[in-house]
Amino acid sequence: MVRIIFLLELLFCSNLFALTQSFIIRETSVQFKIPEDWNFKEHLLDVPLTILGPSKDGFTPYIGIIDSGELDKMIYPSNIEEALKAVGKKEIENLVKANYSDPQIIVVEKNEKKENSLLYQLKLEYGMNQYKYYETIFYLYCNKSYLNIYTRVRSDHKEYEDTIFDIVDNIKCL
Amino acid sequence: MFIRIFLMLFFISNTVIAEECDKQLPVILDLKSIKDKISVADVIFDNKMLDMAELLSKNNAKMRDRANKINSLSNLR
Repeated sequence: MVRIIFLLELLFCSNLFALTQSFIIRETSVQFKIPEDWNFKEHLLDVPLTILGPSKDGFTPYIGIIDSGELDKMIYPSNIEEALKAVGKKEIENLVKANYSDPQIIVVEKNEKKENSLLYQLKLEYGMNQYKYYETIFYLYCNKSYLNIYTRVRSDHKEYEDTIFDIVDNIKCL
Repeated sequence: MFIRIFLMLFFISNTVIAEECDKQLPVILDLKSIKDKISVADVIFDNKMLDMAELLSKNNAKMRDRANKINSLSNLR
């Protein structure tokens, strides 16, 4: 009997560890798989959708999702890479102005994993207090509109980065 | 006699060349206007690119601020 319960648990373990949730951001419907120990908040601090990881040592892994305003009217997928390089330069200027230390662009690239939607990512790093922070900002082209998915981890909890990338990789445009 | 024939041929050829130029001129002017339009479009595109970089950077600054606020809250707990 115990064995059967164990096997049933194994069969359904994916459902136990992840919660599939659908959201509408502006006019774009998206579906996320959120790990069980993570949670989501809608309209938290004026951000349409926030996904938070478990807090440890005064740090909370963060994913914030907003629509990219007029971005979809301004640029098209063919020139977004060039556009994101311009964003990266602007980011460095702003981070220096805001007194973050040693800001750097790590990469601007297209994520090839997405089949039905285009996903570009801009990776940055900078120092604040005694820690280094790693930001990956994803731009997801979903139903003719861009979503801006901002994510951040801290150097002492970089292990959350894989979970964040899994969440983003599993986003489905509906 | 020779001079007359020469002058006649000269005027005829000039007229032919002038007519041909008249035909080509709108095409040349049209090409110039297309070139002007392309360079204006380039400027608009560059400006839009800068506007867009500014906008996206503002979005990121807003999100960075929110992430900092949430960290401050988890520090308070």
